[in-house]
Amino acid sequence: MSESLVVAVRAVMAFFTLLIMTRLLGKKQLSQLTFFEYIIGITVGSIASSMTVDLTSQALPHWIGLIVWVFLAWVLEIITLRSRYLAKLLDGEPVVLIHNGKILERNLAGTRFRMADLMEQLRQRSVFNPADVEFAILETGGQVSVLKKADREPVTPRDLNIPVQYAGIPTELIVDGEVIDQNLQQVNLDRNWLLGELAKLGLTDPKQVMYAALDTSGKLYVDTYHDRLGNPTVDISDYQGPN
Amino acid sequence: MWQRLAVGLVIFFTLALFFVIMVSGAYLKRPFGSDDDVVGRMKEVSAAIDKSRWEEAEKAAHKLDVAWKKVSARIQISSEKDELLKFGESVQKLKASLKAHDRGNALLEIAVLRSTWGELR
Repeated sequence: MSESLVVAVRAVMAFFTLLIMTRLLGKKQLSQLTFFEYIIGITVGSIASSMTVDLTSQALPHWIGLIVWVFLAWVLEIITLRSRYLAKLLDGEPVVLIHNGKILERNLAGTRFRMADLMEQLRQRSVFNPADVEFAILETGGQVSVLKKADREPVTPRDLNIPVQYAGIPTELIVDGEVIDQNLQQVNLDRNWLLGELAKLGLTDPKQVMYAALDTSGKLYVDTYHDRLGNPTVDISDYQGPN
Repeated sequence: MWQRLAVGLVIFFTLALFFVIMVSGAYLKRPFGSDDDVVGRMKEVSAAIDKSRWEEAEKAAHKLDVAWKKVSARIQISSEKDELLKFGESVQKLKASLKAHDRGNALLEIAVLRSTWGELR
């Protein structure tokens, strides 16, 4: 009996089942998960690992367990999408922790959030004084959203009535030396135009380009594989040793 | 539309394939030739013990061991390792009991083998 072979086959089955199931659960990032969803993730991962290496039991019960857990998580996701009442019941609601610079101790205690945790979260958002905060809200995923008082916010062009140009998402035209024709068509351009632009920069082949993108103002950004930075380049390493 | 359907079918067939692999033991433990009939060999051993034909029983037990090695290799993916080890151990105990002409222990091991065989999936 080859245990290694059995583990390898079980690992392939667990891996792809987990991949399919997690895709089914949507695209929520780790930071957006509620505590319960986080626990579901840990449990499902644990079941997958047991299915792989626990040869004292059949793979099938683990596999069924994995699928049932993900199915239940998916059902909960659908329920919370359809019913706001149940979403509140299952996921909870955001809680205000600071209002107009005043820390709401009762809410803090109710969420089992320590003052040190709150200050840490504020510092991570570049706020070092609770007096600067208009609202600090503990989200259901455990992060604290902070709205600074209006007079503590940085000045924006709008505040100064300065007109700005529209800036949208740049369109990638070359990635890893490969021209993306689909994106070229989307911006009503073709390869001839792109090759002409590259030629202006002294480049004869798109393969020389690591990344090229066209921004919404029509400016082409090009990064080549050969970086002509001159010598010496900036060295940010602060200790000898392998990089 | 067609792409989504194709992806859906690939996912369905992948999960179905995994399921089939995991329940394949029940099918793969059946005999596919003359030298991998575990149930048939167990019956042979049992019949020989009943008639106290020890030499014949030993030969049948040896064939049972050979058959088991073939079948265990086929069902190892879907079966519990402990059950596989238990069955293999019982076969060895049976062989030792037959060598010692120990009817009681031989019948006991045959009973264990039958019960374990039923558990194997």
